[in-house]
Amino acid sequence: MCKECGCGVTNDSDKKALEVFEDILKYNKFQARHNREHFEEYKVYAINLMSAPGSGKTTLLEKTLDFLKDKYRIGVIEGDLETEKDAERIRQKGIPVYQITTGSACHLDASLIHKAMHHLPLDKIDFLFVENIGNLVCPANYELGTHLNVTLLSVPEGEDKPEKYPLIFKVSDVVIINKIDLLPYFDFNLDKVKEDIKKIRPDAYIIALSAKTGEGLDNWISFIENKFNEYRKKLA
Amino acid sequence: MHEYFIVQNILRTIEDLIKDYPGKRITKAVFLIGKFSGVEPDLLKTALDFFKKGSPLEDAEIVFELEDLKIRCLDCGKEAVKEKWNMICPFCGSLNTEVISGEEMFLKTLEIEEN
Repeated sequence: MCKECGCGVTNDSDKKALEVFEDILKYNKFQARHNREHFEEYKVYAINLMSAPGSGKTTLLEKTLDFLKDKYRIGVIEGDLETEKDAERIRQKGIPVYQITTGSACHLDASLIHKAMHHLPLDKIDFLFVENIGNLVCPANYELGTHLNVTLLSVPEGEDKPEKYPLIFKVSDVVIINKIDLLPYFDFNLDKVKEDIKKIRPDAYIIALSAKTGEGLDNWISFIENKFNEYRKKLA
Repeated sequence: MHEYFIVQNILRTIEDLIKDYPGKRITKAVFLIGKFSGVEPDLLKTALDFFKKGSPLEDAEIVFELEDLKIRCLDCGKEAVKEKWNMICPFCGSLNTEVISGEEMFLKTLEIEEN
């Protein structure tokens, strides 16, 4: 055995150590980069919505579509373990939606997004929303190639979630604190949560809103509209 | 569940690499796993032990090296190891910091020998 590092590879052995240093998630990263190229080819601005189940992703998406749909062309990719229920809610608004049912997979990955995007009329889409699987853990590891990562945290989930699930907040450009109409009924210190999120992701943009009552929704809408305009200007 | 997908990625990475070494056997694989990479080393080990059967990793010893979360302060220049995910510089209190390590999930080395 090698005395330096205990690796079992010495000059007289028939073993050989290969220095590899390969990123285990590299296939997903390649695919995510490829997805990004597709989006840019069609000038599509893509937003990845992540959260635990029941945080209000679909409700936020529905409200967002109501604000944007007369001004922009929109497409949606819905991720769910089972059922087409969420997709159906969106389809009723006359918006092109592709549903990915993952069966048992706990996250969407870049190759699933790639397959899904080719079922949508990319040349007729300005905003593409991806609703990830409801899960505060696994989606954090998988880049999709989207331009904006958004995580929703709803008031009833509790103020300890950023500390308990830091990774998803670490990868989020925007954090939406949803269901603020319920603040009077829960021990949820909004300032503390904002501070906790900033510790994990100092440049996160944090928006407190209620998708149900509409309070604060205008901040979210103007934020993504600004991002969209910057994006289009950059591509022009 | 998540660990299973990581294992799939590991096996694919290794199958790609081993193509360049036909007839060789992998005796050891060393992984570098950041403590804040989002993967639980114990669960990954269990998943890997189960799914490596029939793969080039079947007979290989699996070693995980854990990497601390380390940040560098861009204001005072100092480095610090963090136990929790908290980007505040413990020396000057700045949030203008960057992660140096602790997020990675790498296949570091493969040890191979003639069959």
